[in-house]
Amino acid sequence: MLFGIAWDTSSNWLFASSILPILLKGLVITIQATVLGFFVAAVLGLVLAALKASRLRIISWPARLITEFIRDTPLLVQLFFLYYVLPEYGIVLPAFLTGALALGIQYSAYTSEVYRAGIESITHGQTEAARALDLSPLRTFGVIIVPQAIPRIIPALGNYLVSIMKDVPVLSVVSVLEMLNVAKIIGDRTFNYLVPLSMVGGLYLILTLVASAAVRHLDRRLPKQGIPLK
Amino acid sequence: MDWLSYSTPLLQGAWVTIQLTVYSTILGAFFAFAFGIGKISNNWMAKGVSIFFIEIFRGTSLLVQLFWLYFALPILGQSIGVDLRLPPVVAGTLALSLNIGAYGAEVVRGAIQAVPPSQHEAAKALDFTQRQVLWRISLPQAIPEMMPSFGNLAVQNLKDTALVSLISLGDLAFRAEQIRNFTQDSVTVYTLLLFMYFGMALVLTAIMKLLERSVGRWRPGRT
Amino acid sequence: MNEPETRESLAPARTQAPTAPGADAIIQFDKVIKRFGDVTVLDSLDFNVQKGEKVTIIGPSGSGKSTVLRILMTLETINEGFIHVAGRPLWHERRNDQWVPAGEEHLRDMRKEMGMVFQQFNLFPHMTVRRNITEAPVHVLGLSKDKAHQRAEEYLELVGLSDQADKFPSQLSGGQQQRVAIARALAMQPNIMLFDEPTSALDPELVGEVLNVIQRLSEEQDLTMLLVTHEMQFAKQISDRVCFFDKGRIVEEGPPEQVLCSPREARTQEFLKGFINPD
Repeated sequence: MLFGIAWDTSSNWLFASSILPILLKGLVITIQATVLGFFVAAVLGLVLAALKASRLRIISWPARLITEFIRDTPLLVQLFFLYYVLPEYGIVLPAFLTGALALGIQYSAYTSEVYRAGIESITHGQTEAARALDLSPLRTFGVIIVPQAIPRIIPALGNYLVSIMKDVPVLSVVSVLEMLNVAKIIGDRTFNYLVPLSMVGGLYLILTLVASAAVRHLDRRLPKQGIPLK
Repeated sequence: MDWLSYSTPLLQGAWVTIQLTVYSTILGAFFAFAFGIGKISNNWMAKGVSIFFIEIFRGTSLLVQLFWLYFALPILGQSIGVDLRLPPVVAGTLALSLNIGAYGAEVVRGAIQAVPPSQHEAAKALDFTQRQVLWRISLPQAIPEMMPSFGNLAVQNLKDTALVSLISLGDLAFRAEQIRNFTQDSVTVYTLLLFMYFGMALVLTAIMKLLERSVGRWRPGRT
Repeated sequence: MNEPETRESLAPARTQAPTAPGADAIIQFDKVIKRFGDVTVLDSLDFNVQKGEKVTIIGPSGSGKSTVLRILMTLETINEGFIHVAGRPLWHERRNDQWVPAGEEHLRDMRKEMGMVFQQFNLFPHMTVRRNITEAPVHVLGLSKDKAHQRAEEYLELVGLSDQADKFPSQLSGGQQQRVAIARALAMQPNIMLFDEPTSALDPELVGEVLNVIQRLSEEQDLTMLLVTHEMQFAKQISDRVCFFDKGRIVEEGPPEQVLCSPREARTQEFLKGFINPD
């Protein structure tokens, strides 16, 4: 029994159908962790990108170093670090939030790259044209650069959303009851790992296909030249 | 802060991590080429198998794949009467290499298809067979294109090796966990751990950059 | 990958035999039709080339002149008609007493008759000059490495690049690359050489060195040569015959002095007006 739902081990098919609702509860947690982690990654990545783009070396260099450091160290270790070290400094977060935070930090290194690449792919000629028209730098950035960068940034971010989802199972090490953890617990108790793990694999495939299709659809709907401004 | 005494077990763990990374990256490269070329081949069986593996290993989580190979596969083996219990090393290496192989396959496929069609025409005019065109003309030109992406995948693989600690494989992350459990000195251990992975990643990146340069020797701008 | 994808557009098997090729015609096009989608690029084309003849094809873009060469080199299929090369059908073969579209093996066999030089040179960038030239002789013709090297030296000398054998294409000028491309095609010792606008992608100063090589070829070797070019002066120098193509048909053909200097057809005159008069 898990989440108050009992399972039936009489046959493989009955087993599978009886644990499906349990796995789905785990799936909800998976999705929640994905969304929260993505949100953190998107915001933190923006901050990092802004810092990296600063013209002051004492700001941009440490920012770049930090990004590289985050990018080159495993999510698992970052998670453990946050989980065990933060409390020593008085910050006690529930495991779920720690997990989402770890996901967000790990992926902020990637999203900051997405922002940077998106902006940089627009800049040159457009900035020159804007300057020739005497537009202020702020207006240039907000009204010229950003609307054109968005159609390139959003699909890339969407792909990282899918990647985050695939990394959520790592959170199981701090006992977050996402899908894989649920399946493993069921396996631990029934000694039948095959059915729950295969089902989780199948559910992940479906999730990935749906999410990727959604990203592609979004990509198609965004006008290539930029968000139209009337 | 007795980090000197941590060094022996950590270095032992690091050695396991390095070996795991090397083996799984090399095996992964093999899978990448096999699946990547298989996906664009005309042989429907090769194509089917390639697409199957690529979709499965790119579409599901690595940890799920790892757990499946380690926990679920033996049960599948039982039901068909074959002993499919994989030791952690095998399960870990297999999961890592199939995973990186699936991602690498798309890199391989993309790079091969990016070789200009005019090269195929020139080769055809010289009467090469299609297989000769693939191996002598397309692949050598595609490989330098793949290297930057392969570099990223290699570092990703290094990071992913940490997950094998969850099936009790004695890598760096596993050793660190052992020490932490024993000493409760989280800050030192994890900080040390982060920096060790960072260091290994930097070395790996440098190696991949060297590889990238040596493979692209014939490109314009280099001698 | 790169199968002759348009094979399905080829005419169904014909039971009647194609008309027998003329006596000395090494290339014979027999009512050949080639379509790209809705556009008819070759319009029931009849075209012959004699053995050892040097023929230049001129015409506006879209007239089908490059297509003729590409069809010969088996890079494009045909929709209708028959082509004979050296007495054998190119795009058809005989199976079970029927003429059917040619399979890959037959095409590979026929390709050995022809060598092609492309507008964009298309050298293999990852191979040295020497390797570019020896690769096909070794792996297609089965020559030993030594014999292939000998051949490479011979042809490199012919094109005047003996000292560049170890360079990579990226280290050579356009004119040098094209000359290597010529040597590479020659190394397969085809009977027919096809030149598809060989100098159109070159800077003007480099055009001469390539044309000189082609001229030398025409004088020293007993090759059948088909040349598509805009270099009218050069065409006059080396050709036995000039063909003016327009809209997939030969509008006028004859000796270079006639076609280039005193063309009979109005369209030919119209076309040539855009060029400095080759007198």
